[in-house]
Amino acid sequence: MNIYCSQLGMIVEFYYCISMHEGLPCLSTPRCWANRMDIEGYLKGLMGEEGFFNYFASLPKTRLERIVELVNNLVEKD
Amino acid sequence: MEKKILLNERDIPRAWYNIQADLQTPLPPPLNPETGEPITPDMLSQIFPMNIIEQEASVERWIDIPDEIIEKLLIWRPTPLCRAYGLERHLGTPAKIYYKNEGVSPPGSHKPNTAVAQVYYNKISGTKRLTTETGAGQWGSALSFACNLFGLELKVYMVRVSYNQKPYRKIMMETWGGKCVPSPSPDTNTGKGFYEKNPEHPGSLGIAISEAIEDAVTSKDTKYSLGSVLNHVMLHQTVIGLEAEKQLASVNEYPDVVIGCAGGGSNFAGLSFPFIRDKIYGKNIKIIASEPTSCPTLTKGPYIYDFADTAKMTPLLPMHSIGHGFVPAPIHAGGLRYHGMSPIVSKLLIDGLIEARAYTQLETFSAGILFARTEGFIPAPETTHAIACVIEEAKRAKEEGKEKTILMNWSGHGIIDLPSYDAFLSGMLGDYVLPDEEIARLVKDLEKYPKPR
Repeated sequence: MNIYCSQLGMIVEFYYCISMHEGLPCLSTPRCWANRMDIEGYLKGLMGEEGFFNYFASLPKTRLERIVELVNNLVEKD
Repeated sequence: MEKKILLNERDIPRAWYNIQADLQTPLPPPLNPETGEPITPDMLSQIFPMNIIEQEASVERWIDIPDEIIEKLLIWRPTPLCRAYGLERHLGTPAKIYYKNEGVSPPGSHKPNTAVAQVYYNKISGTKRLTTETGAGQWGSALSFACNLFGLELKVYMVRVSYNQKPYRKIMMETWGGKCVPSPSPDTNTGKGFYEKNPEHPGSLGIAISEAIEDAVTSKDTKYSLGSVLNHVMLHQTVIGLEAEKQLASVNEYPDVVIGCAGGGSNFAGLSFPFIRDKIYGKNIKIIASEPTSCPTLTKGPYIYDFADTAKMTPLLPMHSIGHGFVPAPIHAGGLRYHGMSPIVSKLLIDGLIEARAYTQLETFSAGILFARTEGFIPAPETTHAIACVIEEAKRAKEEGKEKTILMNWSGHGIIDLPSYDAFLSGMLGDYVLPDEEIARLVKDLEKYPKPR
């Protein structure tokens, strides 16, 4: 069971979508798979209702915000 | 009958167009996640040279293109604007279809338009080495090409799952002298954490970004470069639309519809921004960003959870914002948080200057095959989303009996993406809704894997 991933420009397996982030799903998983299955129900089954909400409830960071966060973390460690 | 409309080298644009100058309301500033305060140039100076940071924030309408950049762009620019007679005939449409062929660049896509500019600005700022991440491989290839032109070293962190499936991308990058490693790699602290636990970790774009940034911040004379999303990237890509304007004018044409595919937004921006300027000042023109139904960033908006009522009495509900005539408050308040999409493109959508459409993977690959069989060139999978939209518009023109002029950005060729075509042609791709028994089988298969936390 696969899907074209626009981030990677290639076909990826479903398992990749739901586990690529150290066992956690890609944040795009609910959008990408919504047309093909009850992905929300499926993920809630795996992560628990609370885990699902906690994981997907926050607004995604913009790329620039993400970059600045990474830089901040590195500078603080230094 | 003119197939290719060519522009003389002396007519290549000498300035980039900055759409920020014409936005009716300015872009909200990006915020530092730690403090909630606007991000300052100083924060970005760890990874970008100051001249690029200045462009990122600039609201000047026109920014001159240095001669040193023009000299390199001339290797493949101006790119041809082609009339898709074969596709028109096949569709039986009265529409005139033009495509701007950005696949003629050495790396085969529009990406070097900004790669060349970014490498140049780094070079004159004293940068000796660049790092970046790449998912599909187009950006890593383009940056490697550009670094070679200006004599900079490059290290590319390529998501391992993509690295394994696209060996030719790595060869391209290394042919131009760049170093390409699969991410997670053992070369950074971030990568090492993942790599040591599982040397075959498939990686993700997030991990690759983290590795590239860590490398840039912790290495001498090294900066980071990004090929999409940011304002300066959109700016550098506007040579596409500026050339297309001149080419169309030379045959007394002006588009009714402008179409580009939108992933991070850069090729869409490159073609459309000069035409959006016309729209802002009153021109009647339809501008469409096309994207996959898988990962529908613009047509569905951020996938977030919010309270359905302002009193927050109802449970959290999933909300797809755009496309339903409703934008949740946090999106307005917090800026434009379309995951992975350019904030400027997102704003243009919210402001109603562009529209977005999504196409399924079968529709897009079918469109790509049709294009290859009628026009010859095999498009990149990303580009097929624009072609699917062109076909839809051309069919509509036929139904309406209107002789519309459609302009599309043919953003890259698909010669290195043939495994995706192979998957399509051998029937391995589907758009169908999974039946319950298949989901049950899938759940059973997945029991052997660790569960998401």
